[in-house]
Amino acid sequence: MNRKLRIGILTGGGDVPGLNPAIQQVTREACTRGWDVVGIRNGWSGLLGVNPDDDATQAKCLMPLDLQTTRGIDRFGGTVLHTARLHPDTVREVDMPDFLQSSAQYDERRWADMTPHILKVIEHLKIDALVPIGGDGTLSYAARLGEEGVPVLAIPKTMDNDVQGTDVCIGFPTAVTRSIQTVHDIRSTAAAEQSIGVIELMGRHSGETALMAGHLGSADRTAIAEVPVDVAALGALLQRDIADGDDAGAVMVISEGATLEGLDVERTSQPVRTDKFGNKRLGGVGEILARDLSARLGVPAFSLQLAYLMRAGAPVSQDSMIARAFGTLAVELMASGQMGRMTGLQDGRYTSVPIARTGEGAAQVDVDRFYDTATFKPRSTQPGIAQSLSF
Amino acid sequence: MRIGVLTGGGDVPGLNPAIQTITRQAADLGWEIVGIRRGWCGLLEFDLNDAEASATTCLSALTPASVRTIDTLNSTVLQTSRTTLSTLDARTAHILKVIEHLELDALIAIGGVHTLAYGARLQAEGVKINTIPKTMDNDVFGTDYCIGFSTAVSRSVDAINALRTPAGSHERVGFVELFGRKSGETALMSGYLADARRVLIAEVPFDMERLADMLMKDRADNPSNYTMAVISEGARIEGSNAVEYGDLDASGERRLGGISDTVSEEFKRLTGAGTISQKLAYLMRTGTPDALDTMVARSMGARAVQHLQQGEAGVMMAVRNGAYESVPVSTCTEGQRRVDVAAYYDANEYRPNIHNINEKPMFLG
Repeated sequence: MNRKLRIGILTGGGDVPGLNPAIQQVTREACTRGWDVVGIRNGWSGLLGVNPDDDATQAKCLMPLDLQTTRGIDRFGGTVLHTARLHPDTVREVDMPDFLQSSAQYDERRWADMTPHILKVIEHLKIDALVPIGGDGTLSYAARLGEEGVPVLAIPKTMDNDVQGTDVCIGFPTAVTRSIQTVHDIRSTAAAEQSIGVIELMGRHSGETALMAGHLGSADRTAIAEVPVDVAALGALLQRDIADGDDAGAVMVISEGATLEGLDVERTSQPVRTDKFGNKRLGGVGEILARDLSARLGVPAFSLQLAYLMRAGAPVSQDSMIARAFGTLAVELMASGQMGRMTGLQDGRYTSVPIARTGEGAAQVDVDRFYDTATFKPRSTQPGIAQSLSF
Repeated sequence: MRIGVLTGGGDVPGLNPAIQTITRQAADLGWEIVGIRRGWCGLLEFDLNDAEASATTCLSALTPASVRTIDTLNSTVLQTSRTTLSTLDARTAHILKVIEHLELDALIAIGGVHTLAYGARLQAEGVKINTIPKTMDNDVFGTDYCIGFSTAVSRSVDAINALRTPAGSHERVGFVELFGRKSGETALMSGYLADARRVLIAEVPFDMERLADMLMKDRADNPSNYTMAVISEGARIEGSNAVEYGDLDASGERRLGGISDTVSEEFKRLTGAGTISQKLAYLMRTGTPDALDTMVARSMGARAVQHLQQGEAGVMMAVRNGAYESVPVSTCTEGQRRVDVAAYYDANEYRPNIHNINEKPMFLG
């Protein structure tokens, strides 16, 4: 395919370190080929918000990307295009732009599928191909657009590392690096107080961030989202870790998505917090577990949610590398006419796979292979030894 | 089984996680683990006539309890040293006796080119030994990856970007010199990922006047009127030798270093423009390892023990084509690992050329 393309780039879902290098790389590779690049702001919202009958809407939703506007953006975390979690096939009434309210056809949930509008906007903007960078939600809608005939080349990012078809997503190496450092930092507090430190990590329903951080940071125990936690058994092991542990206290890692079984404390006995809409929010699973362990064992226990710090700041080298390589690969695939694909890393090497509706089955930890349920530890002996640099 | 573990050569982030994993895996099998201090020196300096005192200075017991939190410390709890191969070769009979005295059934040596080469020598003498490559230079022949490389690149990228502040504020040209010895890989990858305009690698001599012209144009093209160049410590101006200093080191070579100052002065003389010159040096290998180095350290440690368990000695842990592999320990002596210039470097423009990504290994290899 030698003709000049006009491509659109967008970033959706949570931000991670590495998005800006990816945007810069896609832009450069495209500009080098003489293509035009349109930045779409706020993920899929940027396309939803363009009114073909009102060019003024484009200023708010689009951003020109070229060699000059992307200069230096790689030095910052986050994304210059901003991001959003909206999916155009299920737009809530409150999120609908005013100019679309009258034509939107809502279902009984007051949601509307705005895909016909999105297709019209893509045509109006004369976009030949789209490069969505996102997690399974963003990429799932990319698959939908692919089915509608839009040429799409997707790039996976998410610190949860739960996109199927690739062993590593942009953001995961940095998230694990930060988590390991937190395990080490918390070790000094746990040792000083002879206490149990419980570190809660983001990861949604996948325990991979917790598993890798627990393994690489050498936490005493690791609880993952995939395996319900028997709190009594875990407590007994932690008590032994403190007793045997050469005054190092005990440190454990838990997935935010983990479930606790056999709790002594009431889940809601802590002071209830409310969010800005007045909804009650439970504390994190780590805090509930720490309170239970403290009461159960008579040992001080504390918890820490690493939360957004896992995905804040500048990327580590592996994330920069993967981001740039995915960006270059995406443009190289488009230039050779291969559309409808997602860049990936498999067995330590770059590749691409057909973009699929990943939303239904987010990748989870292969428990039998990588986790020992009885000891709450990652399996680092065979057959659990890593086979490739893909993690 | 009773196995000895040692770390040799320059220290890098990731050594303690490797030692910790080896100790744990071996202890799980019911083996005894002896830490040998200061690399091959721990065996070389072991005095068989005063074994008791030598055991204190040369050895360090490794147990699951003693290594429990060593990964929270940087560097290597076993310490390290550099000894010339010729010194070691000359004392091989003594070293073999010490290994016998200590009743070591097998050794695991973690190190760079020289440490691993002596491991190959011992293997030829009948010692059961498995080796693990570590060096931020990533220049061990036979593996695409050595422990320490990823962290060195992460730190270099951060430093290059930080140095944009003084270079940019003063509208100067920044020259950042990176360790890497005769391999330009640290410079190539760091320069690429930090988006430096020019990257000078050890493998390709450069024309100083052409470089000066390019940098003046780069600076003018930048709205902030500055530019950044990355230089391998082993890079050299066409027609000149690499810049070295000091006396011969343990490997019988003088130390590389100082090329950024040389280029900076020459650039000022040619153009009259201002410069900053910074050697990142030891800061590239200090501090805590990033996730990839921790991962590779633990995986290679586990695999080294696993091989011994299966009765396989004489292998070096390696990464090839993105996947873990094992190769004969002597592989590291069979060639020199250097940047594949034709594949990854534009020798006319003095910058990385990283394309045709499909099927390439993660860090390109």
